[in-house]
Amino acid sequence: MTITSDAPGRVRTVVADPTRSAAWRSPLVAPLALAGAALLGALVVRVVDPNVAGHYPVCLSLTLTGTYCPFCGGLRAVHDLMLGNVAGAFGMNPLVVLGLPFLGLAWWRWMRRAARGARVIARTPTWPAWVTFGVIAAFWVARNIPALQGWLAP
Amino acid sequence: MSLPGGPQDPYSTPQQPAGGVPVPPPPPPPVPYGAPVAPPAAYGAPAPGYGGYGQPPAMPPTGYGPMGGTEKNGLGTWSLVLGIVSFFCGGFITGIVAVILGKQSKRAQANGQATNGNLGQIGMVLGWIAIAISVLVIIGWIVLIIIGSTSTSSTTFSN
Repeated sequence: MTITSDAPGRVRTVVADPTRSAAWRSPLVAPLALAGAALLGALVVRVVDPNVAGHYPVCLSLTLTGTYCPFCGGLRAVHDLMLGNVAGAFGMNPLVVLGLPFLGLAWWRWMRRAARGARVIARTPTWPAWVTFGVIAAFWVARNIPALQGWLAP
Repeated sequence: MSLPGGPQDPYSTPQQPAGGVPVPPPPPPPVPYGAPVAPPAAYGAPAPGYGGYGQPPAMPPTGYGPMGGTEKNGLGTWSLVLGIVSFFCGGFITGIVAVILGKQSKRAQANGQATNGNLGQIGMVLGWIAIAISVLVIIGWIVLIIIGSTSTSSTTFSN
């Protein structure tokens, strides 16, 4: 009876292990998948023009309160960037244009850690988060000030 | 058949071989499965709520540093910031990140590697709300498109 009981157990573990412990379990899967998804999204935004009304949902903040949120114009900025128009993108949303390099840097650090086999997120001090919040909040307020909307509003 | 053998077996051997041949097969399988399942069970609390993500093997290197540190406080702070931003901006992606970081922050506090799990908790809740709002917006937007396409008048898109 031990033979019959061991057999199914071994068969199942043998079937389950290779699929999990192979390439799909590599720490590189998550950052690469995220990068692929981001690239796919950017391509969609390039093809489907966000300057045309109705192509994307309207920002909820703009609809309900009439004020620009920090990311209003972000899709148009990405659209311009994908067309190589950095100045146009900056005019739509300078925060997104200036923030993308930081996102890329964070992603690169993630890849380097993953390449060394680390799965856990790198420990960071808390101040970058607060600085990010301060920048976003300041930009949020500033782009809704009428005198500054010529530069900061989409 | 267990009746005649019953009184003899339980006393002679601690295990109950009641069925003899047919019953034993079930017990052994739990053993091979029990071993791999056991480690995740040790982290039982965070694992079930963790959803489809990384799953137990990803996070368990909890035995990292000595206890009582603040080295993972960044998780909670980032979760809170992203939660606030996604809450007010209807951010779907940032909401997801806020939820993930919030859960990791709470776990880090449970492991003595962070002291601000409450920030992670707030960020997680805000992230979930933001996800729900954006899902509702997307659904409503799709409904509007369907209505607009069937009514043949594109005036509904004037917004």
